[in-house]
Amino acid sequence: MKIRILFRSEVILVLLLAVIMINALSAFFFTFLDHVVHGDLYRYGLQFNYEWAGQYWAYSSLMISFLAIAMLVTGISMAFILIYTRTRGTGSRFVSCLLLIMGIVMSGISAFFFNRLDYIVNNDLYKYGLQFSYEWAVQYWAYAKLMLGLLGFATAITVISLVLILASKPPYEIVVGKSRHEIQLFPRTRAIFKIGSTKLICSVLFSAGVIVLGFSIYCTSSILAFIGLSFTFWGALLFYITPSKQVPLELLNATATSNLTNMEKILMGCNLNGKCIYLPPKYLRDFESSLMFISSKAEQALPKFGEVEEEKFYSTNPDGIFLTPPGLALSKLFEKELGTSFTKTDLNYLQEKLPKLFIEDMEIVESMNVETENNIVTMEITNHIFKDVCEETRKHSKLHESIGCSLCSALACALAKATGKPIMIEREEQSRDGKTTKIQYNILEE
Amino acid sequence: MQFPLSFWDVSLWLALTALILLITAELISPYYGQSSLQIKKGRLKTVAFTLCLLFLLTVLIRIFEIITPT
Repeated sequence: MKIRILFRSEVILVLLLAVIMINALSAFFFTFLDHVVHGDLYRYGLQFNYEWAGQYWAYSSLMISFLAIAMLVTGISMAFILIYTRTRGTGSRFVSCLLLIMGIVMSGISAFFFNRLDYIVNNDLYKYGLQFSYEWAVQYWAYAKLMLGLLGFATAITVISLVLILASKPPYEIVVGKSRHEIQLFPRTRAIFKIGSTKLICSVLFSAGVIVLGFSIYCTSSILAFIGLSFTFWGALLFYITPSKQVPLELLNATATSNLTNMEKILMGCNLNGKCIYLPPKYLRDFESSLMFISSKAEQALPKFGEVEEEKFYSTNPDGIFLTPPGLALSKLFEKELGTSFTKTDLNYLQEKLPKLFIEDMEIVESMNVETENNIVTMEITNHIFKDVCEETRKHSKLHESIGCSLCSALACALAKATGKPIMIEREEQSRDGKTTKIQYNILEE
Repeated sequence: MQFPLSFWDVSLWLALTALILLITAELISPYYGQSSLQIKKGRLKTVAFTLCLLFLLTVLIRIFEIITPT
């Protein structure tokens, strides 16, 4: 039996967290060193001059900035490792490695700037009256060694983490005899971090931005402030514009098919010859609901006001059935998006608002045109996402003739509510290329 | 300790961010066809306009400062 455990996500995450903390500690020791230069050295004859101070400040701010960037990229790399733990995508693994390399380079640059700064202290400052004394030098060397030592230690840990990631070869497997079994070695880690990668990136960006902003205030660095501000903003923005949940269109089509078949069966079984009529709210007890009536004979009057009950299936006077429209939920969704009930609107409102709602807000069609002539409302829709469902509806002749597809039905519900009159789908045509659907609704006079 | 960015730095940042967002919002607009970018485009547009208005506000403050005698 052979077990391959090469990618230990927990170990790598802990190592990288240690890297960030060590880097932060290194920056902390630098502030002590800075206190020695800007405090103690003046007691040993150092004269202040902008010539050395300007250079010193520039190098120190550059050093701190690069150190902060190194911490930041390590943090982002951790996020990508978490994504890798969840998705096993090679892309996130590659990005995390790349970020770690970037972190090592940033630490190296930071060390380089510290060396330049050290050169100023150990050479240039003697030209400005500094007297050597072991009292300040011992302190200075201790902090410098601590700082550089920690920086080196952090780099070493980063290299180890990098090697661990590169050496990993998921999926994990157990080979028992000749059979291979894939196993999840860290189900808890995967469960804890089973949040959307986008949300994870947003949180990392936002928190990293806040940390960098804090650093920028502490170090009075405008570069860090710009970086921090941008990270915070983009983190928050990504979170704000990310859709709640995306479902493939194929899934929607698959769930609709069986319902269409059932509806066709009902229509055939009840031997209904009349066309479907979408009843306005005044016929119903619940004004926000919708109901359609299909009569048994082709030319038959509508049921009377008091005789319509939402719970009833059969109608005796006149003969027919009551059904909940297949597009009712969709029409309610339109109402929710518009922030109003169709019962409070009119035909002009629909004519004006529906195209914007469909194209811009809900992105379910590419273009839409609503025209009204006498009692006929014509809607022309191009490239809508319900194309496949409508195509499926066309296969059920009875259903297609009387009720229409989900989108046609939803629009009929909306029209019935807005006009307050019964609506009948007169015709539904599709262009030869299959892109444009033209639906004609008839507003019936009672 | 003080915030290292001046009012004009923030104004410049607002201008650049608003520009990027406005162009992005326009390019991914559904009126140019259904894009595969799965984001709430309406919200992006709102943010872009808000940032644009904030930038214009900073400009107005600047103009007010110039025309007001000290």
